[in-house]
Amino acid sequence: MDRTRHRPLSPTPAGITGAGVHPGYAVASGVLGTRVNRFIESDGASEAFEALALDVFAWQFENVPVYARLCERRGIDPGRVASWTQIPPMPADVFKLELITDGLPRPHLFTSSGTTRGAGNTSRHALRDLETYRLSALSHFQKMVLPDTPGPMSVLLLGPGAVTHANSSLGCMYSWCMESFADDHPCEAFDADGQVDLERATQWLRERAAAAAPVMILAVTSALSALFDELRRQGRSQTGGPIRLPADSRIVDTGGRKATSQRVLSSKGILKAAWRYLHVPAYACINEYGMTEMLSQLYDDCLLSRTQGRFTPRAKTGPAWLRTTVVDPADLQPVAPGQTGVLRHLDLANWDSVSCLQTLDLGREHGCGIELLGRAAAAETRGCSQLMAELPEQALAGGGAGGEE
Amino acid sequence: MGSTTADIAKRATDRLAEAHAARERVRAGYSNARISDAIVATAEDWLGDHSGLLSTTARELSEPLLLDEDMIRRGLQLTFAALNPDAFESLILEQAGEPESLEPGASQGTRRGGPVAVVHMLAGNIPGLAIHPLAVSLLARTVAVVRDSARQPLVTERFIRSLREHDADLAAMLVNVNWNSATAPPGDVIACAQRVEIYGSDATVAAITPTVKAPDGVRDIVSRATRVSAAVVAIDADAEEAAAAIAHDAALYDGQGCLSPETVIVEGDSQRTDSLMEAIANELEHLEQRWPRRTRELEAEAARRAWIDNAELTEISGRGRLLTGDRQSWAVASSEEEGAGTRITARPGLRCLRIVRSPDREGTLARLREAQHPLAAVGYATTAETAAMDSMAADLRSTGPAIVCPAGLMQAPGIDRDPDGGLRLADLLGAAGAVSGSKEKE
Repeated sequence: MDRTRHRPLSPTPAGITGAGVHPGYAVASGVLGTRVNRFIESDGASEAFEALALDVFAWQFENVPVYARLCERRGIDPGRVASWTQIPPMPADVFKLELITDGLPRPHLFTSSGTTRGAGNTSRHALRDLETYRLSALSHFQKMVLPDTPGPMSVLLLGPGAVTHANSSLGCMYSWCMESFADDHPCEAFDADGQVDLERATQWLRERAAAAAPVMILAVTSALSALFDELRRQGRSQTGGPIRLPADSRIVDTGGRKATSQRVLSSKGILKAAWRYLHVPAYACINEYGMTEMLSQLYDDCLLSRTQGRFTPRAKTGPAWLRTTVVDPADLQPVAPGQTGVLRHLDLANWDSVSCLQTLDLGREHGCGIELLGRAAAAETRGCSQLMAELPEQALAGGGAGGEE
Repeated sequence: MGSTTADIAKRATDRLAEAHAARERVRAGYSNARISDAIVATAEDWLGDHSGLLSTTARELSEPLLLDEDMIRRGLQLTFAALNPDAFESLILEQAGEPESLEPGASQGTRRGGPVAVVHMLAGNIPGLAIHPLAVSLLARTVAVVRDSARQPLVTERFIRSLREHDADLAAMLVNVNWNSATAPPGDVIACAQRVEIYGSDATVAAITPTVKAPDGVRDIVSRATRVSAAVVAIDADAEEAAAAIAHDAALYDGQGCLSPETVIVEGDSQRTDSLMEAIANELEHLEQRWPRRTRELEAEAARRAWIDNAELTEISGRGRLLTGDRQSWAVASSEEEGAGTRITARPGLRCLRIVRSPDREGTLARLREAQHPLAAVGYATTAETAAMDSMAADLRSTGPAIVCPAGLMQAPGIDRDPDGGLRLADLLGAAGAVSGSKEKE
């Protein structure tokens, strides 16, 4: 294949010869990483998304051998790609393979739980450093979850943390959020085995209800469901009535049925329960969509929308450095606006692995963002039947491609 | 405006009353030959496209089934070609014991027959799935109620109509009732049935079964749940002939039926696997020109995408190979991996075929035995010598598939066996409520 037609990185670092430990390699990646970080810090204003995306693609083509092989198989190289929309997507499952073979140390390893795709079938995302992830995660979290700048909040963690779940990208992000946005009264009620200390959590919530500072609950949806079940039980047994959290309190949950086999409330069920048991209005309940394979996240835009005075339908919105496209699984071409398809993400925060990811998560353009419709039941068997298609709609599992653990 | 549940129930009740009256007349006066002659004549009407039966039906089914019109025509031809005099003669001889025992002239106390009524609840992916069970029901003098898929009620309805032109009583014994699959069947439909056959995925069958159980438990419920099929290419088979036959079996109905091979086991070395793979790819490309694949429902396409993604990742990680058509209209993948990941599974169809290598016959048989679901059909390709074919068929039969046949005929099953390997007529004659003995006992 003719690699001379590849688009050079701009500015062109000297000495790039491809994969392998080479002095120029570190320079090139450093330059690219700096550009991406600057792009994130400026909320996409530092340069054109297109130029940066094409440079990221060129760099990944040179340095991620598996990705280069996939591109070559499809007859695509950076010289043939003129727009970010033409960057070839990699199945998100590629993170199950050994992605980078550059020999450089990658001390930070995030793994998916494997529960979505089966045990022993985990995605692994190895990073040289966490700077881009931290910038990406915190800045978009702040924009979507704290658009009203409520100040320090009392945070209840009902999900993984960096200490309890060292290989969890979600745990890492939640811990950063705690460090950055929590006041002096945090409560972590989710242990290393994924067990929720419901008694402690509800007691803490009752205490905080009497205080002035708003509360923020960071939770995996299953743990949040368990909390609501516990509050309902307490209400029935008259050991405690509904809790009225202070104004401006909010809940952030992330879909996925991880760490527990108990029932998980639907998104509508979460909204109802949040109001009923905690007096948190629906617009302050924000669902996050993320996955181990992707360093950026999408959030419901309900709170941002309300803060900005526009009341558009709830939709998931990503940051300026992430572009999400809805494509037809049959031919991977974009579908018409509003039509359901599978989600493809181009995440520049993933500059050090693979940015363009093809998932089997179902969604459609909706309002100002994406409506997530679950995950395609790709494992559905066939027999002499597709009768299931005529039965009531099957429940769709939530969560991202590999789930975020 | 659509029919209400009450309308459907009322119509079903009326038609069932007619069916039972017709059954009495058939039992009293019809020989086996009279029944089979009427069915064969009806099949000939379809095969001869009498009054445009075949072509009109194929054209009208093409859109709801998302299948090429010519492909449907071909599939229906295979279905009706199986309804021939030889097939009926063999069926009666092999499965009815004394053929005369089914007829009115049977001596006192020896009369046999199927149960009063059987209900078939069919899947929607394969047109004409009901035809063979219906034909056999008539031979057993059993009323057959069919719930077709809402997507394709045409074939059963038109078959009954065309049969009526040859014999009104036989046609009246076949009742097609279409109720919403998410609701329980109309009461009378199930109340009269001693046997219910449910086709569908494991989940579908599990969902429907409780709704059709008899309160007293005296009703056979037969599950036709998920099954898988495979093709085997012997080391001495002509590669191009084998490839053409297997590609046809895989492409017909877009590989949605349980008789469609999902896996091709190639005996021999990896070079032979590669050449077979390329030959099958060529044939699938030819078939794409003849029967262009149409995009299906989102969930099905997503499952197909997952399969292709996985095959592509396997290839770029150096552990296999993937060949695809233009716009991935078909895909053939091979893998060097062993173990559970290469088990014969039931997905995704839609012209995606997996090629696995087997060093020898033992390896082939082991793979077949390890299939994830019961085997429906195994097609084989070997030399045209009878001894070689017989020997290979015997080997393959030992792994338990319902049907073992030459590749190219996997989608052309005979009327004698159901996809679970059951003997259609014998099973009806031995079913709950079957007639056995004197007329008084009935």
